[in-house]
Amino acid sequence: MSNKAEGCDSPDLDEDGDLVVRSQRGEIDAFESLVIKHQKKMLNLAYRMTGNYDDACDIVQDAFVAAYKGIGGFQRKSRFSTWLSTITMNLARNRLRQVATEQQRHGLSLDVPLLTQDGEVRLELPSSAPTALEQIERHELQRGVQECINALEEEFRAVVVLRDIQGYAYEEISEVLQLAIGTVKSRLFRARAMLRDCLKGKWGGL
Amino acid sequence: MDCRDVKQLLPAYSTDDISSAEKSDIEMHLAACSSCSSALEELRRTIAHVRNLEQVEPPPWLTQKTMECIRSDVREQRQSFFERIFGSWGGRVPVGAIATVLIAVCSFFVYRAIQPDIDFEEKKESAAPASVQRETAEPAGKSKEGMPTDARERIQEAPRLERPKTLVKKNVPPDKRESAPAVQAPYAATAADRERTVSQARSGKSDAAGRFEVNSAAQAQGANFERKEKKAAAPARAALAGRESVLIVRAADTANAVEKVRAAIARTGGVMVEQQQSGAATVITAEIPTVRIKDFIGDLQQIGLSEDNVPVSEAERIRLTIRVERIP
Repeated sequence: MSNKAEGCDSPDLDEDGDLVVRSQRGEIDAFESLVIKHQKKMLNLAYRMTGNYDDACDIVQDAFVAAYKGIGGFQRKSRFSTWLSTITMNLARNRLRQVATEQQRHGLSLDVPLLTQDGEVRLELPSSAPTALEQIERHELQRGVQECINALEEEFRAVVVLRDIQGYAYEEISEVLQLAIGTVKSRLFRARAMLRDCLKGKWGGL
Repeated sequence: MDCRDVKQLLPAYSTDDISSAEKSDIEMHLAACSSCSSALEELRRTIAHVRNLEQVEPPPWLTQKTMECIRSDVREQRQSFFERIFGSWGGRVPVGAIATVLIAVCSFFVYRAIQPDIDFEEKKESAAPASVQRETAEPAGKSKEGMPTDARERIQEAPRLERPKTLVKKNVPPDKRESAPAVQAPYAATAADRERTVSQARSGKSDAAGRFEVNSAAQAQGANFERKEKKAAAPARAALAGRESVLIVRAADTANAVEKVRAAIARTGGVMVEQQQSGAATVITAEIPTVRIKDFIGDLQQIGLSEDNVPVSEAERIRLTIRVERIP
């Protein structure tokens, strides 16, 4: 995955400029084009943050609805994708806090099955959405990586997801997370070290 | 640079986010340290694993569902004002709220319709001079035929002077208040007769000419007249509202008291209109600036004002009659 060139987060270079302007005029079809174009990226962002596919779908949906409501006030000082990523990340982080609160309240663990009226169910982990075509080894590897990402604290998880998974530039991450670039880098380097330690512990070596 | 320093910088070095000076130092260390080289390799594999995570595909319904939500919001925004107002009641009309508003509006218009009549009544009452006066002066069962003609004429012709609207009474016992009309009613007559009237009212005697038999007749009527007087108290006070106020000052030395009254008039910026002698009493008519009326009344109280009536008027000046009597 190639990272974007840093410093390109200029509104003048925003390839979505025309669709944004038309959306601001109230053209819903133009906004639908933006949805189609960006929904996959936003879904992966939300999915890697929350580790839950259904939650990620809900977050993406809410993010686009919020973006449409607020697009009139979008001044195009940043690119549309950056602005949309900010909304998506905020919703994802809110969801993470909500889940953490619920787990704390009910004393749930991700490893413990949940008993319901319909029988025993397990909390869905991000890596539990495999395709039938995936090889078991590949599946286990992906599952392990995502579990280690999930184990990171939210502030470290966000920079890893944005930089190493989604390939955002440091400036863009700085804008999305409202952090100084130096803080973004230091968090990223610490997160990478934590991930390495996690994977080594899980697999016994890398 | 030792292993600890290098391992701290390896995450940045692994993605080339490091200065050239640090980069050369690290590379020198890595060439000689297999442990740090191994750590760097582990880190690069970790980053590779993370970057190689597969992208998930959005469900086919996501776009449609998202746009349905957005279009639904747009429809809500375009709802008419009425629908937005009443939509929260699920389409039901808030009968209670509408009824309350209607009652409030009706009450307001009813009040507006009645209010002018109340004002008119008040104006009529305060401006009603002669008719109310006559009623006040007439004893019960007596019509104006029982009164000398000239007295009736005088009463009817009593000039409408610009006088205080009301007479504010402070700390006056009810009995005094009720008897006030009998004393004050005759002052509805002309200024010349006023002092005699007061004298008669207080003494209960009529003069030689037989005028102002009102009080004499009233005395003859006894208790009946008293009752009538009480009933007439309110209209008499109303009649006074548009008339001149009379203040009675009692002193042992009337000559000295008169001088003090004149001094008080001058001190408060008043103007002497006339001074007359009425038997043992001296009657002074003066115009006092309304704004100084309280000061003037205060001065009179020190001299020997028997009542503390404070005339009230919106006019610039108030005409007052001060009767100075010897203490019996």
